[in-house]
Amino acid sequence: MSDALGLTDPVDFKSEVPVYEQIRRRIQAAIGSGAFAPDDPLPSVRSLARSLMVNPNTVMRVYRELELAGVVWSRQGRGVFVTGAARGQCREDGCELVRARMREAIELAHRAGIPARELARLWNEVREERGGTA
Amino acid sequence: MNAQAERAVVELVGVTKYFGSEQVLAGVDLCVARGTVTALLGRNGSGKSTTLRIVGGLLARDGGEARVFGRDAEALTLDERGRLAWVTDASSAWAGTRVKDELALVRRVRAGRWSAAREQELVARFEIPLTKRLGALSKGQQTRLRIAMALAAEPELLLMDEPALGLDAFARRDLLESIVEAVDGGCAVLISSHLLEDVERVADQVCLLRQGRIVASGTLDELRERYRRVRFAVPPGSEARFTAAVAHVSGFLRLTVDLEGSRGERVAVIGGYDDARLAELEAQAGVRQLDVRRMSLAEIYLEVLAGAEEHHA
Repeated sequence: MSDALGLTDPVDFKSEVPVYEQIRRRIQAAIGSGAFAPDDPLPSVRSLARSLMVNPNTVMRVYRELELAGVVWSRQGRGVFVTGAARGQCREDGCELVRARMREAIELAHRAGIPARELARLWNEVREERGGTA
Repeated sequence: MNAQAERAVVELVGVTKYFGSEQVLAGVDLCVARGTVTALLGRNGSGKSTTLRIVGGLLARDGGEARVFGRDAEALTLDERGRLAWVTDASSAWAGTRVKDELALVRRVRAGRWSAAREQELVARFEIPLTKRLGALSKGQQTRLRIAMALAAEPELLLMDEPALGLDAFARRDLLESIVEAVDGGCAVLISSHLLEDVERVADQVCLLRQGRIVASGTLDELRERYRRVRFAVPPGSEARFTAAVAHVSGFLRLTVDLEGSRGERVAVIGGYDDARLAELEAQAGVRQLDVRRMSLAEIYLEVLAGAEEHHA
């Protein structure tokens, strides 16, 4: 699960997805996958900013948004922690992301004239490529 | 489902929580109805914050049931989460953020429920300095800003953990006003506070916590009905008999005997008052009561939390 979700993998500055959005998605994915459990602390703003080589304000903004979404909470002087409700929430967001990509894939298939049957076969093929764990 | 359950915004049943091997909640039952204020009272470390955090989905409970809006507190959707608002003293917002930018962020995140009119009204009334940085705000200004951000999102459940801490009289008045307004609009409020006179003013229901348990709860009127201070005339030579009688009826009388009472007077505090019980004590002890007085919340608080753990539900 660590491949696409590595919290400290370099961010893609050329991506159309804003940097803070990339970081937010990773944290949510890491929580959704169980890599971070309720009550676990997230890395400090400074340490995460340093390992990603981004501005600390960007990380701070991500944490603040996650806080407003109920995914993390901050304790005075003790840092930022994963909430009890976070996992369900992050998985929900993850599902929404996957759904969006699937819509794109179906749209692409439609334009390429690939019928639904074929699409299902492609889906299984890709899964097998990955070792069938997905 | 009965009428009370339908109106319940928060329902806790036997909630337990451990930090490591230490039990911080030992089975908390709680029900907060729509349009009411429930206050959690207790000393530091009694479990008030932990209870609030479990309701708000910040902490995962270890046992029992916790429902908010009729759903598991840990399984609220983003939409449902938007219906609850927090006023706490901690935030991960950067101290260098300007107030107006922080407001813009919260406005954007809460877009679905945000009332621009309410925001403007609160910003004006609380005199929130929009161009200041968060780190430059006084304690009272910070709290006012948090209240404004919570209320402008028009929540159905407002959770406040010691919101009055460090506030001056004016800021406290604004806080109380905002609570009353929220409740007026049908909001359920769950608040922890050490300021008993404030609680007395706004709370519909009070829960006294001690070592992770609710040891007394009810409406203020119910508590005042149950807890009374009784002054007795104890004739010379009857002290021992009086003390023995007090001990004997301790199943329903919780007494602190004022040994400094002069002229043969003794004062006892009763939890679970009724006339028959008092009459029984009088008969057993061979004494008569001089007067029965109701107690303030502060007095009840001190008696209940200083005394042995006992339920008088």
